[in-house]
Amino acid sequence: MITSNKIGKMIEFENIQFGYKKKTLFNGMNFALESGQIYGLLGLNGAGKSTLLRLLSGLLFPQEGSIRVLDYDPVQRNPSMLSEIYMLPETPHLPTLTDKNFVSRMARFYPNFDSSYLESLLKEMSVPRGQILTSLSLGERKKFHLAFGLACRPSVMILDEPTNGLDIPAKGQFRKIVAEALAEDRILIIATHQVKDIELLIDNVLILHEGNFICYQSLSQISSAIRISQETNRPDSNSEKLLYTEPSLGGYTAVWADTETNGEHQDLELLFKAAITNPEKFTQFTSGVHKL
Amino acid sequence: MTSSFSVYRLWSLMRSDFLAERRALTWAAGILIFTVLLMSLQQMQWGQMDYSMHQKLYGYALFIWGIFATSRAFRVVHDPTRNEAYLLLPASSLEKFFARLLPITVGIGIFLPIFFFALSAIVESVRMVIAGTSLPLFNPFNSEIWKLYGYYIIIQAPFFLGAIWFRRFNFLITSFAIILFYLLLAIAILITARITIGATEWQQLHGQNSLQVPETGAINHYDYLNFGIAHDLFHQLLTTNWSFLATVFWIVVALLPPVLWWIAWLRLKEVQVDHGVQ
Repeated sequence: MITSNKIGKMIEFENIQFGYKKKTLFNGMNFALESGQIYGLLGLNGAGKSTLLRLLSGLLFPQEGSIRVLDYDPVQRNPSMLSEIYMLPETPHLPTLTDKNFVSRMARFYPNFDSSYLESLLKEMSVPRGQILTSLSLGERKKFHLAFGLACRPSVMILDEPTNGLDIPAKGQFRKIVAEALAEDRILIIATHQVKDIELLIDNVLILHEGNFICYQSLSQISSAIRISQETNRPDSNSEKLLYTEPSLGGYTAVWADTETNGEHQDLELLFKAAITNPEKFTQFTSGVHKL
Repeated sequence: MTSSFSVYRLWSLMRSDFLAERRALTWAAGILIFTVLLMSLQQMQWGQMDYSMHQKLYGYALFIWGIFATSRAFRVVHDPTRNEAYLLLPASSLEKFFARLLPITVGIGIFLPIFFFALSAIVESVRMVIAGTSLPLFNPFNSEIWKLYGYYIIIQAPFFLGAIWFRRFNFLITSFAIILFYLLLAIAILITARITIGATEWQQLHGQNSLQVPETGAINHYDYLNFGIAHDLFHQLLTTNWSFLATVFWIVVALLPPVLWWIAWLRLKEVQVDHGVQ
């Protein structure tokens, strides 16, 4: 059943301040994420992606401001909220148990757990059965963890570097399964450096840079504002609309701010490089940093 | 789903912990059985009859196993590879707290006497068959057993707090912290007693040679540090109301475990993962 707090804004950050001892990471961060969407969270190493995910799941507490996840305060770690959140870590550490024992131990904490769905996912991803989980390869463990997480039917699914360790066929399976898992009352957040793995999957791009989002848009919005071209000669770096350029085979690839595009498919990696290289110019042409 | 406490979730957590620790529990039980058998065999060999052997071993097991298990109670919280999964497990902090507290207080209090009774029955049956003699079985209803258990609960509580408070070497650091606390407490009591009671009464209470405080003709410490009312009050308390003081002491001791457990629960509620630049 879809309840009111599972439609619309599912996650809200309001004026969040957070930092570690020597480094302020977020200074007054505001944003909201809506249900029925897959968000790609991108950023350089140390930009705060993992910290952001840990703040929204209640593993870290903000120093100031408020976070609401499904109308809960994550700091309280309410069991009802926790049963609606599933986080797939970059390196899953599973206990020394068989898959059956793991499920028997853990599934009871998730009221929406669907064992037949788990079985079908494990079969689809060809995860070996009946083995001690720690004896599985990294990729197999990730697939098992992903299948278990999806079978818990959480409203918020957080995937931290989900494709690391997956082989090429498994990456394809991952995209298919994640795309099928999206529902109106669910939100998926994928934090990754492997942008190629998720560019066909995500609806929205969040690029985190120096404590704020320099890109907070849907791919369709970006596609209507950005154009990528192949040039024989190096484009004039003083050109007002040039956001980024890099050498490529037979010339240069350039990223332009151009509202006259026809919504073509975007190369997420180039988009990311353009945003990181020239954040002020990028945000100027893509409507700037989102404010609540 | 109730927000803060559900018996089902608590049971699920305890079941999950038991499954995770069952190998360690089996080892601990095996070591206990081996120790009791070894001591019995040794006594048979030397023709000794230690009538309190089972009770003594119960005491050792309770304190060594109990304190060791208590110090490891929140190991998962300090393990960066496992703490995220633990904290994200859909159960409240209160349930997670009780899931760790109950086995090492109520659980061990029920399990160990039953275990020792069964073990003593087996060991003494064997001794009877081999040596023709036997020791009295371990009696779980002996008042000494429950007195030991009471002491265990008092001693266990700071180690439980230390388990959540300190990140590593929980047992050692907690032990040092307790020693330091008692040293400071002893110094504070000595100074307070010296100031409020004065040299004369101090010597009367503790014997002439126990603590000789030099008194100079120039400054009489007793007069100089005499706080009047405090002096009289403490003097009265120590000389005529000793039973009252003893009662206060035992009330404080009895309140210590719940207070320390409560602080441990607050700490568990506030624990965050270590991540990123510290």
